Amino acid sequence: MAARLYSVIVLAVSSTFNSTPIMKHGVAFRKFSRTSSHRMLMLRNLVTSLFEHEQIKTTLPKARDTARLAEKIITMGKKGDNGSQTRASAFLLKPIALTKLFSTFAQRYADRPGGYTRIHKFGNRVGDNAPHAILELVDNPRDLRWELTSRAVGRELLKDKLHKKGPQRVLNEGAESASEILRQERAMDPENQGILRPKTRWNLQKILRFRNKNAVDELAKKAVDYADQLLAEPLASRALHEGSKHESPSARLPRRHAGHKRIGEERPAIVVAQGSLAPGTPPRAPGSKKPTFNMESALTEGFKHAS
Amino acid sequence: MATVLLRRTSASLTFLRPSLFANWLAPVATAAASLNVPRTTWNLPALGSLLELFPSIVLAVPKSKTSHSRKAMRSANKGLKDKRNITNCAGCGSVKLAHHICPNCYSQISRQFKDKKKESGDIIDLS
Repeated sequence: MAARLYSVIVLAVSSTFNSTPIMKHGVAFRKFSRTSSHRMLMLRNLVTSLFEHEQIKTTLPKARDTARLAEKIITMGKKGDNGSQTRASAFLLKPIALTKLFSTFAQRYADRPGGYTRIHKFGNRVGDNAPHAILELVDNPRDLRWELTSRAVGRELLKDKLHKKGPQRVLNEGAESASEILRQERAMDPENQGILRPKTRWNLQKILRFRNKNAVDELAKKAVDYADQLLAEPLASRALHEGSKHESPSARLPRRHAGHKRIGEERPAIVVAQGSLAPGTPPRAPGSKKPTFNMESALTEGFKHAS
Repeated sequence: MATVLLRRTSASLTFLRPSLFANWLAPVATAAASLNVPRTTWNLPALGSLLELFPSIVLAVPKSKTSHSRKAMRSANKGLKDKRNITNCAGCGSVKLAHHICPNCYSQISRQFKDKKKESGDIIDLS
């Protein structure tokens, strides 16, 4: 009697489990664990915020879905006819976003055939380790790619100058005007050898593509300003340390984090971080330790062996 | 109609008990009787808990304490994995994740914009 009951229970339990696995190939839309109305309203809010602020930070899957919708709405804005206006005003949740759509964005993206948004991956969120992303409209006043490329260009121009002129001259003169160099680099094929890295040249060409005539000069000025800042940083940190020496006399000189790439360093990050333990580094003969003289280490870390 | 029939059969049963057909009539009658009459008493096994259904040979239980060595061997694969997608930022040279933006650069850029916004009086012209 007990055995019969037990077998019945086992059968009942096994029949509730689905033995065939469910696949999700080629599905276009994400559900976000929300009902259809909630999902749509969330995306509408995200698109409205994107139009209002032109740069938002959210999770990566939300950014991807928002980008897709936002680009379709911007196409509506470019069309500008009555039907588009009706549909866009039904979608967007703030009047400022609607006005910007038909005035600012329609002008800005008049020549651009699509691709009005850009997603930058930005690490993981602290609370739940969700992958984060910054979603922005291309060519907006706070364009991130513009800023980051100007910094990269500035750093590489400085490296080139240090190679050719030497640190002392560069410190005295500062970085010169770089517009001519940038114009050359812009026309060059990304794979060829020039002053800039291939990736930086590629980025440069991309960000200058749909901009006006003065864009190159603006970028050059930004790059040169950043190069001056890079030159000044070790001096400034050394000066700060000297200033605070009387308060804490035993405090060490400021050092860069492990793996930080100095200007002119060619080795990859992991190799730099591993130091003498990196694979491929020849073993150092005992007693042959020589300090690495570059501008940064001379001005920040100091040397025990320097006389 | 059926109840009338039943009463008849039960009546005939008591009368036919010593008869020749009692052997095969009795079970049929009782079966017929049990169909329609609701019973209030149920015959169930007395259960203290459902566990009494499962003989102890069925329940899985560890035979002995897992040794330190075996436990350590099992967790050999559970260590944290190294990140290999580490590069340097082309702008500031600090360490960053590949295909991600440099948080150091972003922080500086963001602070610059916020300072500019403060200077120009909280209204940034984004048009």
